Amino acid sequence: MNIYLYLALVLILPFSSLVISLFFNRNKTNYDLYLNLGLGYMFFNELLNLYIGVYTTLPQIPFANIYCLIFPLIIYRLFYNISNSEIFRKRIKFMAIGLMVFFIIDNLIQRDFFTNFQFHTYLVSTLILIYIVTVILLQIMKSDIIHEYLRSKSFWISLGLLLFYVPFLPVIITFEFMVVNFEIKNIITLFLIMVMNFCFIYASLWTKHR
Amino acid sequence: MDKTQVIYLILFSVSVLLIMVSLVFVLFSVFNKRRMKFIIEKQEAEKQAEIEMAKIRIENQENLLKSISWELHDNIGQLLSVSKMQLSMLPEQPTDLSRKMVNDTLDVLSRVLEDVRSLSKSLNTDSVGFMGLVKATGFEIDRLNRIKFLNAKFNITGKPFPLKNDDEIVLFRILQELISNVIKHAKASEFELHFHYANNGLVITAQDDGIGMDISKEHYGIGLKNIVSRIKFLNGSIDFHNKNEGGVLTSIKYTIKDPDVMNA
Ligand SMILES: Nc1ncnc2c1ncn2[C@@H]1O[C@H](COP(=O)(O)OP(=O)(O)O)[C@@H](O)[C@H]1O
Ligand SMILES: [Mg+2]
Repeated sequence: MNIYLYLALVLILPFSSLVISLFFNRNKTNYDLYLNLGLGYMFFNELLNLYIGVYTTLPQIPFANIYCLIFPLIIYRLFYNISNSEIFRKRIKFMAIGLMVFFIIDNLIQRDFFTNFQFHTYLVSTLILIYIVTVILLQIMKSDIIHEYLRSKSFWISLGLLLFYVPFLPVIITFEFMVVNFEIKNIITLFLIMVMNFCFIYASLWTKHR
Repeated sequence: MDKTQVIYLILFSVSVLLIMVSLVFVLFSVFNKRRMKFIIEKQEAEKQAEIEMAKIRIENQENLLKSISWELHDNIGQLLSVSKMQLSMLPEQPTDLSRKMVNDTLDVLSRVLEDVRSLSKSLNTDSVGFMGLVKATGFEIDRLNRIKFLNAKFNITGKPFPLKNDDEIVLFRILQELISNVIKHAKASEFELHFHYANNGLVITAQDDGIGMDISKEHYGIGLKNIVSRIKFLNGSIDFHNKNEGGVLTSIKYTIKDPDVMNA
């Protein structure tokens, strides 16, 4: 696949979700801010990658590593706002701090922040994220929203993240331990990003409940 | 891309798609199931609330009727008795004519007193003191015949058995309203009431030979609306029907909820 097409799509997708969420949002909620932040950061990160790759000789890895820490934290914060269970909110806070501590300790041991993808941090953050999304989906299921869950914004956001992170997990694990053509990873990533952003766009345009 | 890479690509795509599809499938089937359950529970709760409302309304009416009944019996009945007593204590009258008038008045008073007593009885249906649906209905029919307003018949087929006591009272109230409607609106000369006891319940038909009625729900007054809410409370059904030869045929179906109660 053409690398420019890939880059263009990877930029366009979060950008359109962001624009739609910012300007065509039909269902305003108290977690919109974090959705916008997340999408904005996703877009900014790709842009930065492109810029560094094309115009500088800096390594891209540290920016990807920062992204893999910050993006999940933004998403945790989003779910912190979605959840209305005090206990679960506390747990999210606790897990966010745990992730940061883990990131620091892992770096103190490995000392490869500038040269290697922080695989362990990615794994932990993804597992936490899947756990949070699952609990949120269960909460939706038990609430009155279940009556029209296809019109629920939090349902679509959760679905989008779940459909990205769960299938991507085995992919990224294999890539960590096996040498596979990068293009394959790009195609699959692109497909997953497409599905995720479709869910986000749906969440902004066609939902009416929390 | 060489051949192995293509195989890898296919392998990866298939597994990713597989994971995705199964995720979506599981998620949506679980959510849909839960949604169905939610909807059913909601309907159940609404129905329960409706029955609760009907119950409260019926209780209020029962209380009102009871106090009217007491008023009739204790107050009006007493006053009538007293006036009867005083009339009979009048000193001997000189003329036959006035003697006869006093006696006639006494007769009338006795009849009024009797009517007030039986009216009071039919209004008051304490769960404990209620004489039973068949007997109470028989009294109502007798009362109807006594006022000679129309010719009323009452017959029973099947083997009568007691229903749940409260249900009997509710059915009795429904019959009273039907009868009062016939008196008030039907301009009928015949009224026929039929009980059919089957082993799973009771079917009641009531018919008159009057002018018939507009059976659309918009024309229901308080009486018919009460009947409908009582029927809902009983979980039974009611149907109004204009007969070809004139007059209204009403049929009520009452089913026993728990057949064991019958044998108990
Ligand atoms: N047996 C009947 N024959 C003719 N008309 C009837 C009969 N029963 C009811 N109706 C009509 O239905 C209307 C509604 O009755 P109901 O709800 O009992 O109110 P109400 O008796 O207070 O007028 C009556 O006004 C009358 O016109
Ligand atoms: Mg009436």
